[in-house]
Amino acid sequence: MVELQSPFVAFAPGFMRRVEQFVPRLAAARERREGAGGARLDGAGLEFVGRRPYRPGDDPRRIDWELLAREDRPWVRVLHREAAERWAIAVDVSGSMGVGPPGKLQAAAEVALALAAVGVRARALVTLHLSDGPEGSAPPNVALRRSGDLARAAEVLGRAVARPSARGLGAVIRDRRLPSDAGRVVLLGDLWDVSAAEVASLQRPGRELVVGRVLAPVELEPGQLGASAARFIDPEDGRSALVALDAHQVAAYQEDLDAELDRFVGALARRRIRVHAWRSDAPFEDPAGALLDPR
Amino acid sequence: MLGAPTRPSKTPRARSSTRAERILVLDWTWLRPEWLVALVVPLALLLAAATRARPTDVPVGTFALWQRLAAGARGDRRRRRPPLELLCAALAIACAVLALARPVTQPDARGAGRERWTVVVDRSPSMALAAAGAGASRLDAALGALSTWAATRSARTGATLELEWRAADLAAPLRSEGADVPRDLVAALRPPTSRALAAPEWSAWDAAGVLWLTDQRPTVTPERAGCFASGGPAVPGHVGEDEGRYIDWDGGEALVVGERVPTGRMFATGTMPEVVRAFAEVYAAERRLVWSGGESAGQLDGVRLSLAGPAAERSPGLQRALEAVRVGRDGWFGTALVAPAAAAPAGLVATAGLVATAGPVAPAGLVASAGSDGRSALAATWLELPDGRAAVTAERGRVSVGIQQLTLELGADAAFAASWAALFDGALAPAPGILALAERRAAGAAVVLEPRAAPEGTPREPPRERAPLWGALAALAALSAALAARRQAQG
Repeated sequence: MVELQSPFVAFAPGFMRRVEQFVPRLAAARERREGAGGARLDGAGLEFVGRRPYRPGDDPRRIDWELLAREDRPWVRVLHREAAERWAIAVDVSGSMGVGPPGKLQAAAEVALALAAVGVRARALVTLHLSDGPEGSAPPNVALRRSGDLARAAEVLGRAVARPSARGLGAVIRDRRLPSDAGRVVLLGDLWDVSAAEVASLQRPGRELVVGRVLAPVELEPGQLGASAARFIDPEDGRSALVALDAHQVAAYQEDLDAELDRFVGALARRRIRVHAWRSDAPFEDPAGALLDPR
Repeated sequence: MLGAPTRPSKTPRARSSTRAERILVLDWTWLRPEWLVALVVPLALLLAAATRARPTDVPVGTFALWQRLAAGARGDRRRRRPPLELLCAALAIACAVLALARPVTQPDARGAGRERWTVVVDRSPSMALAAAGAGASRLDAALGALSTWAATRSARTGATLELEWRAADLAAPLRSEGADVPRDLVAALRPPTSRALAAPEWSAWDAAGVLWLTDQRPTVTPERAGCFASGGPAVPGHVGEDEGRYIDWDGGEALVVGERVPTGRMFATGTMPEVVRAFAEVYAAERRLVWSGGESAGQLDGVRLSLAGPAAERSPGLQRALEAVRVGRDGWFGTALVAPAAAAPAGLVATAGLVATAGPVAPAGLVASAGSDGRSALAATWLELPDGRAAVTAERGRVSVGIQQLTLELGADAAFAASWAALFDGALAPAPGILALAERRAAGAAVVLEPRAAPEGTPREPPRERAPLWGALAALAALSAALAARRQAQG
C-alpha cells in the first residue's frame, strides 16, 4: 500500500472569505471580456446592461449606431449573459492527486470551489463532479444554484480523499458523467491518466472546455528533495523505480516533463481547448483567474 | 625470564615494522592536539553524504517519466556512493587538520628519552634462598618483579630505562639497558658464598630514581624509592657451629646439634712478613683449618680465611723504594717496610697491597672506592700507617696485608699473637652451609612498591618536530582540495 503524503482536503478558516473577495474581482473581468463580445458559450440569451466607449477589437456588431450618430463617437452595447448557462467542474481524486505537499487534491479543491462560486455569481447552474467516491460509494455530484450552496460544495470537497485505487478523470470522460449541455466544462487534476484525445472528446460546439493541470513541487523540481537518490513510487499501483538524482538525471527528467506538458497543451490547443498548469503551492486565485480569464 | 634473561634480539622484519609504526599515527604526538577536534568536520561531511545517498521513497504522479529514465540509466550502485569531489574535500580537510595539529615524532625508538634508575641490590645470604612457591631464588624472584615493572614503565612512558646496579661489595656499578636483566649480570648479583654481606642501609637510599631489590620488605618504608621484595618462606638449616659440629635450626624454636662440620681451609698469597705467616700457620692449626700457602684461591674448596700479602717485588729499584715506618696496636709495636706514599708510581699501592682509607665511602659504604684489584671498600682498616693509609684491612673471609716486612719490638710477641688472633677470628668465614638464623627466617610475602619519584635530571630529548611530516600533510590537503575543485568545476 502506497503511503501518500497529502491525500486529504482541509479548507483553511479564512478560505471562504478569500473566495468572497476573489469572485467579484474575477466576475467583473469576465463581464468586461465576455459582455464585450467574446462570449462563445451556449445560453438562452443576453441581457442588455449598458454602453461603454468602443475599444479596438470590439465586435462591430455591438456598436450602437444610433448613439454613434448622436454623439459622433462609437459606443458599444454591454450585454450580460442570462441565467440559463450551465457549468460542469470535474475534480480528479485518483491516488496521484495525494502527492504533495501541498497536496494536489487540496489545490484542485480550492480552485474548484472558487470557480463554482464564480459560476453561481454568474447565475449559472454549476455541477461539481468528483472522479470517484469513497471506497465502495458512487462518485458524488453537487449542483449549485445559489451562493448558499457553496457550503455544501465545500463539505463534499472536504470529504474527498485521494486514494490509490480511486478512478481519475479518465473514468469521468469515459462514463460520460458530465452534462452534455454544459456550456463551460472545467477539468481539474494532474491529467496523467488521460490522453489529450480523451479530453478533446468532451469538446462541443459552443462549449468552453478548460483544463487545469496541477503538479506538486516535487514533481516540478525533484532537485529540491536534497537526496542523491530516490525511489519514485507510482501512487496508484505501488510500482517503484530507483533513480540517482544527480544533475544529469534531474535535467533529463525536467526536459521530459516539459516536452510532455507541451505536447499535451499543443494537442488540445488545436481543438481550442485551453490548458493551464500550476503548482500546488500557488494560491488558488492564480489558477482560478487564469482558467476563467485568459489574458 | 630470569632463567633466560635476555630476550632474543628483534629480527630485521620486526625492526622495520617498528619503524613503520612510528611513521604511522601510532607513535605520533601532537604539539597542537586541540586541532584534532576539527576532524569531526570531514566526518560530518561524509556522514551527511552517506545519509543523503540513502534513497527516499517519493510517490509522484510523474512516475512514468522516472521509470523511463531509470530504465535508461546504468546501475545506480556507483552513483549512490558519495561523490568523488566530496571525498576529496573531506580528505583535504582531514589532512589540513592533521597538519595544523603539528604532528611530531620522538627521536628514539619508542618516541621518548631515557631514564636512569639506580638499583640497590641486597646481597645478603638470604637472597640465595628459595622464594615462595617457586624454585627460583629470592634474587631471581625480585629481579623478575623489577623486570616486569621496568617493561611496563617503558611501555607507558616510551622511555628507555638505563639501570645502574649497586651492591655492597661491588667495586663499580654494573649497568644494563632495558627491562631485561642480562644473564651475566644476574650471576654477578648472586650473594657471594665466601662472605656474608649485610643488607644495605635502606634509609640512605630512599631517593628519586632508586629501586630497592631485596627479599624481605625493609622496616623503613620508602618515601621516594621503589621496593621489590621477593618474600620467601623460612629455610631450616645450619645456623652455627660448636665444637666442630653444626648447630641446626628446625624452622621453629629449636636449635639442635647437627652433623660434623667439614674441615675448612686457610691460605695465604703474596709476600708476607715472616712473623705474620708464622702466626697464621699456628692459628690455622689451632682452629683445625688446613693451612695452604701459595695456591690460587680459586682452586680450593672450603676456604674460610684467605690471607693476602703484597705481590713479590721483582724489581730491585722498587725494593729499595720501600720505607720503614713504625706500626702497632693492641700493645704491640714494630717496624714495617711499606711502599712510600708520594714516590710510589701508579699501581704501586695496589701492588704493595695498601688501600687508601681517605675519601668518601658513601652512601652507606656502597660506592666502591678500591682500585683495580677488585678489593671491596667494605674491608675495614685494622692497622693504619702514620700517613693515614691502611696497612692491614679485614673483611669476612679475607685479611689483606700491605706490609712487606715487619720486625716486632722486644716483648711484643704475646700482644701480637692475641691481637692478630682476634683479627683472624673476626674475619673467619663461617663453615659451609651456615647462615645466620635471621637470614633463614621467613621473609614474608612478596612486595612491590612502585617508586613515587622518577629519576631527577634524566636527560630527555624533547619531541622533535619534523617538517616533512606536517608539510606532507599540508601538501596532500592542497592536492585533495585542488582535485575536489576540479571535479566540482567539471560538474
